[in-house]
Amino acid sequence: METILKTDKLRVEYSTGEFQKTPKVALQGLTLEVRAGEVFGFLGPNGAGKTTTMNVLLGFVPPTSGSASLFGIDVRQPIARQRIGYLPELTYYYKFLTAEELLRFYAKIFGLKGSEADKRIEQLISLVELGHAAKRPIKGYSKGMQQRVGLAQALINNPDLLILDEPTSGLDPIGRMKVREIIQRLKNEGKTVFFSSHEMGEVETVCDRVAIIYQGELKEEGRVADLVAKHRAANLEQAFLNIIGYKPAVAP
Amino acid sequence: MNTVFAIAGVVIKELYRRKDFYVLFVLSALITIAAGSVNFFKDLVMVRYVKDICLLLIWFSTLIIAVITAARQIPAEKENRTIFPLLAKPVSRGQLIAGKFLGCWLATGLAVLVFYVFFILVTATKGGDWQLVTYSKSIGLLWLMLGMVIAMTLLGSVVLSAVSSNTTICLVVIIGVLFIGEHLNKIALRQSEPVKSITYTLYYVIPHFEIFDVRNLVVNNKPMPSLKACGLATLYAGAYVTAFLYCTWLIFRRQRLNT
Amino acid sequence: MRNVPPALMMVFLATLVFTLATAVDSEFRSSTATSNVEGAFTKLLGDGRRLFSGQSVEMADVYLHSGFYPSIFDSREPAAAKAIASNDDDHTNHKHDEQGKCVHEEDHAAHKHDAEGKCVSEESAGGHVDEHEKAMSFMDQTLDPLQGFIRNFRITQHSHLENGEEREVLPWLKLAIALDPQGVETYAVTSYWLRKTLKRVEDARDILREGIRNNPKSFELLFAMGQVYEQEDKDHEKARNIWLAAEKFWEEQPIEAKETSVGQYGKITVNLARLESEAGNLPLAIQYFELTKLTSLQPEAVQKQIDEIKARMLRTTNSTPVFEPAR
Ligand SMILES: Nc1ncnc2c1ncn2[C@@H]1O[C@H](COP(=O)(O)OP(=O)(O)O)[C@@H](O)[C@H]1O
Ligand SMILES: [Mg+2]
Repeated sequence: METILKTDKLRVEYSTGEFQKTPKVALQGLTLEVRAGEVFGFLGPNGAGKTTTMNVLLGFVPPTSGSASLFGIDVRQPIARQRIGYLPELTYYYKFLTAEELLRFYAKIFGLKGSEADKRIEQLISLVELGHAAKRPIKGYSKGMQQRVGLAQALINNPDLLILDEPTSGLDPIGRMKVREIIQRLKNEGKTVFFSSHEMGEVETVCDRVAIIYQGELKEEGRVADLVAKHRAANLEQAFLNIIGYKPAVAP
Repeated sequence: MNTVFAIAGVVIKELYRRKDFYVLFVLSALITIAAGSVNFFKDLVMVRYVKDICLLLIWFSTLIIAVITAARQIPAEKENRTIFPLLAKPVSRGQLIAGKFLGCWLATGLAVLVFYVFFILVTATKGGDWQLVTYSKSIGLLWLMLGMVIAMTLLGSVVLSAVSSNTTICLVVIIGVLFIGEHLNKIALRQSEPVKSITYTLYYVIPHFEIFDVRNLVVNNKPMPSLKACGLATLYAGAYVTAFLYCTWLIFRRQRLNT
Repeated sequence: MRNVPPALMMVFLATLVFTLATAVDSEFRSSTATSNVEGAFTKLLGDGRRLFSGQSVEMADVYLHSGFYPSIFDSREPAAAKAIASNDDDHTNHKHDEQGKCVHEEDHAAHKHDAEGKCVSEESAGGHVDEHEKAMSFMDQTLDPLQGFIRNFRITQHSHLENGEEREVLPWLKLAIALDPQGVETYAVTSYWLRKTLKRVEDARDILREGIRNNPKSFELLFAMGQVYEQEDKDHEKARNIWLAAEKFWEEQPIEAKETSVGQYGKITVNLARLESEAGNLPLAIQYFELTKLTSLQPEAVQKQIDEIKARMLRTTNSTPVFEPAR
């Protein structure tokens, strides 16, 4: 199968202030491959390096060493991002625009015009159920509504690859359910989804494969069932805790 | 190019949905009307002082609009994290800078036009005549200067992280140049050696914003600079804009965008 | 608005207050006597307003030169740049303000500078214009290419307002007065322009009245008012009385103040002398000319006048021998 997302011995260091000479290593030697049509779960506790990996994939942060590519194009080239959709972990959008204007703006960037853009925007707004608020400035949106605007903008170009950074964090159970539904739907349409999470329950149900990173290093990679079996755990959560070497304070 | 225009469009929308512009416009209009309605001597009409005050306010207001609009663009994108979904699209950083510049420039151009319409109306009520060539040249020159101002402020905004310090520094530099820029050569003449050369170099290197200040010609009904001079001024402004934007890009393209 | 630097907002608001106050000020002035606005000005700006007042007079001067004006960076003659006229039209005296700028009179008056940089006008015409041209030729320096380019966007011709356009300087003069009601000179200059150039005698009179109301002991303004009576109303009696009052106020000054205002004294006495000589009171005229001579920079010229009157008296005496024996 075609490789859509690839990282090769990726290393990212952050310099931590003027005085500290030793840089903070956020990622070391990360090698990953995501293939077409997969839903790939990128798992790790807070601070593991998930967002950093995505920042490299999107060209926000240049890698210290190693390389990354999307659709076989190096991520340093803007064109690599032509066919992706990205939902950041925490975002705000231009507050003074309405959801509709925002989507129109992004549509323009992808060269969508006229009735094609209208149709697409209409579809997305109804997909994320923002019809009632589409003509109000984003300023007045709740957190859940903002997240839905984010999802809509990530889909504006009908992308082949979706990169979602903790798409369900901070959402209520209904919101999470909706996001999972959308991921499932995209999978059925044949899209590739690369998403990060630290909530094992939702990952288990939608992911084909997962990677677990911890302190910037890849610990395990494989099908959910294989990992659970390998670590002789009851579910993914236990396997995960096992992999990152977590010892419960109180024995069960 | 589509991308650049789309980004510029958002900047323009932002400007006219914020209050700064309206506040400055209403303030300027009020001051001009107040000054213009003073009846110093019965049936003796005086125009030049009204023109002078109004033009000063226009210059001041549009300069402020240009600087604060340009200064907040990139920092606000970073702070509100809107830059992430934007750059996750096939948008290069160069396009982002170009779009921001174009947006700020068009938006302030719009503001200049609105202000000038008011100016022309006021002078018309005071019996001034419609010197369309004069007005269009002075509008054009002001707009060119604002282009330089915006490009410089954008450069400042990728160098200095705090919007307020960038705004303050840019305004101080611009106002400083407006006041003494064209006199630096005379100042240099009076200095002793190391300072003299430095001052001369400065004189040749700084962007001479004051060239574009033809208020004096407008107020005193003097002929505007020739088309050739205006053309040269356009090239001059264009060169500085290009240089500033290029430096902005050099710095910004290497910048890490992270949380 | 929160992104507008507060300092700039303050400047803006100050300008607003300032302009409104000026507007309101003149409204008040026309109805009631001096208003509280003036008091507000004092509180708001303190002594700084005198500075602004000077600035405002300078603006008037800039307008008078149609915007062709040296900046503080241009090498200019310390004196003789300012062309805003004072109200002396008797061609006797010509004065500078403290900064050494030349507040000269118009028309055909000529003046030269003495050692202290003061201007003295002469009866002969021509010299003044050259002097002023020279002072305003600040632009003729060697040009570097950049300067040559910038010059395309500047006013490079020296010209003065004319054909009634001189009125354009009035707002700045009014503002200067509003800012500094004790600035005697500004009233004098303003009334001069109104009367001489714009032929608005009544407005000129009003300005002088206002000035005298704010500065009751100002011999300069009383002198100027006397000129209005003499030249416009041909009321020599009123002119004489008011000039006498002016002379009295000058005399009442402390000695140092007298020294700095001998020029004014000269103007008063020489005009009184002329008035008396025209009225035929020749001994009195001689008396005033003698006073003038004491302070004049060209005592010989004054002495010549005295000699002429003496000769006239002699002629009168000789030609009317009828009365002589009776005395
Ligand atoms: N700008 C930064 N400067 C220094 N260290 C950073 C920066 N951003 C992230 N880090 C560090 O890099 C590591 C990985 O962070 P991140 O990728 O955000 O983790 P995750 O998204 O998995 O929670 C963390 O230890 C974090 O402290
Ligand atoms: Mg994260």
